[in-house]
Amino acid sequence: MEAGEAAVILARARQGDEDAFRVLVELHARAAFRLAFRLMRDERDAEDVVQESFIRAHRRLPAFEARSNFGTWLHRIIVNCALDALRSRDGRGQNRREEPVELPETLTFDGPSPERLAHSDEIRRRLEESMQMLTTQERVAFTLRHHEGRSIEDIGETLGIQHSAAKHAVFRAVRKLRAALEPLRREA
Amino acid sequence: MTHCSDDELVLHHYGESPDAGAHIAACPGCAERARDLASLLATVDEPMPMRDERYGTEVWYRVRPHLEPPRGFWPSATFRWALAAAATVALVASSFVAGRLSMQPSTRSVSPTRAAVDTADPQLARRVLLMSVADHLERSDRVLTDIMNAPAADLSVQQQWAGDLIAANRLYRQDALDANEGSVATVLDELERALLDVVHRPEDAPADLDQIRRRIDSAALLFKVRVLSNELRHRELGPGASPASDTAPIS
Repeated sequence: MEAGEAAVILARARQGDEDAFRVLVELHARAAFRLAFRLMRDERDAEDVVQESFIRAHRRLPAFEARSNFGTWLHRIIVNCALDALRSRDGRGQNRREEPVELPETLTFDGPSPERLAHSDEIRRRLEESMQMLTTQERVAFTLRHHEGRSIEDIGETLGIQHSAAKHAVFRAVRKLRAALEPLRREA
Repeated sequence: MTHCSDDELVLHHYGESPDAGAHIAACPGCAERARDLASLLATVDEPMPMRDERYGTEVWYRVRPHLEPPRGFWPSATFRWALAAAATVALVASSFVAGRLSMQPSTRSVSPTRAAVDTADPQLARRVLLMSVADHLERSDRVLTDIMNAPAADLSVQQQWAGDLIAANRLYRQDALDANEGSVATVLDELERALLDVVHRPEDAPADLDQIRRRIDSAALLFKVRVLSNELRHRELGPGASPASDTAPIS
């Protein structure tokens, strides 16, 4: 879709045109699901986040600045919805532990390729566990940096934290993932 | 020589530490650690569940019941002018059609746009055509979406709607050809064939319905209908509207 067409659709959606908003939903739903799933790591939770994000987006559309990018704006809404959902899940004791992780002294790796390892059930299980060990902020910061390619500065703005705090959230996430995955890599 | 810290390597990996690059290039130890980090982070890239192109429509149907009507909505000044202009054009067109119908019996089916195309003002005729076709496409979009998502058991209602659209579709297609709107006519032609498929589908034939859906899907018909509808609305509202033949054909 050309930029001009996208702008017209957005303008109509902002003026309350339901069909135009539907086009926006249909255009952005798959990317929304990918981000929501990365953050939630659960299909059903991701679906809930996608749905809630579009409902919030519709409610806030009149306040949306026309010169902004709708995709980026929606991205932030999805992150906020996911943060709410993760905090709520944490509150129910279904998420990560806060205890510190012991980090290995050395970081050597001579095993098979990571592509092969990624297919092993054990790696997946350990990865899942290690992601659960991250705090909500670490998980979101890492996902945005690693999977979504967002800059540290952008992550800080999205999460409403300082640049250095965003950077250290990513560092901590990598350290924890490394600590959890390194022993398996050595065994392989 | 000061070696890179683990955190600097992380920044380097994500392209956020331009200074570390020169050191890593010159230091085999740090280069090895950088490769090791990249290898570790590659294990995090696990596969994820995928969603197909219908997913957006599914989400829309889940979201729609929860949408609030816009609060304090009042059209902007620009939009009010556009609405006023559209209403004026529609009024002129309907008066013209009414006049023609009262003056002489028609020997063939005539669309409202056909009447306007005959007027001395080609710009007015073109705008009426664009508005009418955009409305028609939006109705067709709703019917096709229903067909794509309806349970296979009974499509009689959708078949009725499709039947209602076919006659209008033929007239609009002819009008589009006469107005040199080739790409509009092409999409209407595809739409007509899909509508005919639906209307002539035998009852209780789920396999047949699947085939129809696959044809609609593989031709990306819903997408084309929406893009064209949006394009026509855009041209309808925009100043200095240009004919569809000036734009890339949708095929």
